[in-house]
Amino acid sequence: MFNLKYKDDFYKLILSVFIFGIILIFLTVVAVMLYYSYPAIIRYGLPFLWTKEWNPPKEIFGAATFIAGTFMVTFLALIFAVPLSLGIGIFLEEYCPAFLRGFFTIIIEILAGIPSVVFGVWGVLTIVPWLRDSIEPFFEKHFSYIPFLKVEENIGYGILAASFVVTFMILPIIASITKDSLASVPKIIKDGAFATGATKLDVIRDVSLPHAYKGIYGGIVLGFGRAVGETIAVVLLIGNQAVIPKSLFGVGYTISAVLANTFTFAVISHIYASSEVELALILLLVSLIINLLGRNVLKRVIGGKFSRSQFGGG
Amino acid sequence: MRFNLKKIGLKKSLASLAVLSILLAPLALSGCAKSKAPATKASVPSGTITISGSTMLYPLNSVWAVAYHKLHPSVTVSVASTGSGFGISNAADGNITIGASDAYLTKSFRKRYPDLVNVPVALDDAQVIYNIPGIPSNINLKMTPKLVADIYLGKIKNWDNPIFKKLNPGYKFPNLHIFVVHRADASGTTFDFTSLLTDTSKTWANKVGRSLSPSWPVGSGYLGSDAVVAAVKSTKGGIGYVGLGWIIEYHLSSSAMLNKAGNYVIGSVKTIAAAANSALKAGGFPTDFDKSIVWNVSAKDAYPDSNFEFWMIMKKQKNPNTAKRIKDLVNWALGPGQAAKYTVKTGFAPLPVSVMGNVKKLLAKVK
Repeated sequence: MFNLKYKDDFYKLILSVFIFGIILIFLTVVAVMLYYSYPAIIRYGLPFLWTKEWNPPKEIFGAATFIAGTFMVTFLALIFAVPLSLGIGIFLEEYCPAFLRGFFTIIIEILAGIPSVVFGVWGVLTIVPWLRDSIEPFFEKHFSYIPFLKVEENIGYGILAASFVVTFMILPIIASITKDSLASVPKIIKDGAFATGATKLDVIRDVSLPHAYKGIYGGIVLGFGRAVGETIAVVLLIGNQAVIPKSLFGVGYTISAVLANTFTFAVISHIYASSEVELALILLLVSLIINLLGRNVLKRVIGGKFSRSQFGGG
Repeated sequence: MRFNLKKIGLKKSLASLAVLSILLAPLALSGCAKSKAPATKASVPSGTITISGSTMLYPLNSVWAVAYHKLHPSVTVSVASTGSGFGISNAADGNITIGASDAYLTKSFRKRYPDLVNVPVALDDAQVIYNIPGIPSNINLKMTPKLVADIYLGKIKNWDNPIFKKLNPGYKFPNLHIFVVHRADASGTTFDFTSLLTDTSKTWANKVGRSLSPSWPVGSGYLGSDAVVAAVKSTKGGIGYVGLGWIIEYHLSSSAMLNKAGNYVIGSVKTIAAAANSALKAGGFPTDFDKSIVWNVSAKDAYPDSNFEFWMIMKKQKNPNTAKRIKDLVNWALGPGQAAKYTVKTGFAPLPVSVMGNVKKLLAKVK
C-alpha cells in the first residue's frame, strides 16, 4: 500500500518535471527572441511595424510588407478553408453514409499529414500554371476594373497561389476537428431536439454547432497557426517580393518566407540578424495573441448569439 | 488486452529494426570499403576539416571533400551548406575550419573580422537569361549592363522598347510585359549580378547597391537558381540571371553582355578566366582580393560579370596541425582541384594561373 502510494507520488513528480520543462522551453524561446531582437527594437522602435522598406545593404528595416503578406495569405486561406471544412465536417458527421465515413476520414487525415513541401511542389506544378494560363487571363479580360482583382503580372505566382495551397493544408485540420467536435455532441441532447419536432437542419444549426463550437474554433485556431507560420510552401509560391500587394494576383512576401530565405545570410550583420529575429518575435506574438485572446473573444460572440436561440447550448 | 498491446508493440519495433538494418546495410558496407583506401601520406596530420557556408559553393566543396578524402583517408572533410553569412561568422568564431563565401569581406566586415583571409578558390559568374516569344532560343541577344539595370529598376517594362531592337537589329520584339525574376534567397549569383549593375548604373548604386540579398525594386523572387530557370522558362516575357553551371546544365542561351572594352561577350569558362586574368594584370587589384572583378576589366574577351568564390580562414589557427591540414587541402584545391571534372562540372570556372601567386601569399598568412 505504501509502496504504491510512493510510486504514485514519484510518477507525479516526473510528470510535473516534464510540464515545467515545457514552460522552460517556452520561456527560453521568448527570452532568446527578445534578447537577439533587442538591438533592432531599440534602433527602429515602433515604426518598424509600418515601415515598408526592407533594405539590408542600407540597414533600413521595416516589417510592413511582410506583416501585410502574412496576414493576407492567412486570412485568404481561412476565408477559403473555413466554410469548406465546416461543410466537409458536417457532411461527414451528419449526412455521410456510415460505410463511406471511415474512408473519407482516412483520406482527410492523410491530407493533414502531407508534408508542406509536397503541397508547395504540387502548387508550383498545378496551381501556378492554372492561375497563369486560365484564371489570370480571365480576370484580366473581364474584371480588370476592380482594383483588388487587377492582374499586374500574369505569372501565376503570388498571394493567391500561396493562399490556395495553404487552404488545402489547413482544410483537413479544420474539417477533421469539426467532425470530431460534432461527434462529441451527446446524442441525448440531439434526440431531445428531434423530439420537439426540429428538422435535421435545425438540430445541426441550433444544437450540434453551438455545442461543438469550442472544438471547431480550436480547429480554426490550429488552422490559423499553421497558415500564419507556413513557410516552405509559401516560399515556393508567393513570389518573394517585399511589396504590399495591391491585388490578390500580386506577388508578396511573408515573415516566415523571408526568414527561411535570408536568415542564414543575415547573421553576417548584427542589425540585419536582429531585425529578422524581431520579425520572428512578431510571428510568435501573433500566434500567442490569437491563441490566448481569440478564444475568449469568440466565446463571447458566438456564445452570446447562440444562447438566445431556441435550444440554448453554448 | 494489455499483453496484446505489448506484443504488438514488440512486433512493430522488431519489424522497424529489421527495416532499419536493411536500410543501413549499404552504409555500413560502404564504410568498410572506404577503410580499405590507400594509407595516409605522412605529411598531413590526421583529423577533421569542416567547411561550411555558401550554398552556391556547396557542390564544389562536396566533390572536393570526397576526392581529397580519397587521397588522405586520415583527414575527414565534412561539408555543410549553411549560407555565406554563417560561413564567414562561424569561421571567425572558430566553430568551423573553413567558411565558404560567395562574397569578399567588405570594409565593414573587414573591421569586424580582421583576422580572416579570403582565399579565392574558384570563379563564378551571373548571366542574363530570357524567354521572349518570337526570338529563337539559341540566340544570344545583346544587352548592356545599363539596360539590365533599367529593367531591374522597373524603368523599362516592355520588350517592345526600341532599345532592344537597336541593340539587336533583325529580330522582332513583341509587345509584352517584362517579368523580372530574381533570387529570393541570399545568393552569390545575386552578389555578382548586383555588383555589375552597381558598377554601371548610378541609379542602381544609389537605390539598391551590391548585396547577396538586396532590396529588389520590382519583380518576384524564387528559391534557388533552378527555380529561377523554371520561372523564366515558364513565363513568357521573363528575364532572370543564373551562373555558368545552370547555363551549361540546362543548355540555356544567355545574353551577350557589353564589357568595358566595348565588346559583347558571352559568359564561358574562357571569358570568365579572361576577366580574372585581366583584372590582376592591370594592377591595382587588391592583393587580399577584397573586390569584385565584374565590370572593371579591360580585356576584349572578358565577361563583365564574373567573380571569385572564397574560403574564409582564420590567420592564427590554435592548433599547428590544423594549419597544416588547411594548407594541404587549399593547395590541393588550387592545384589538382581546379580540374574541370571538379570545377566546370559543378558550375564554376577554374582560377587562372596568374592568380595563384597572390593566393599563395594569402595562404602563407595562415599559421
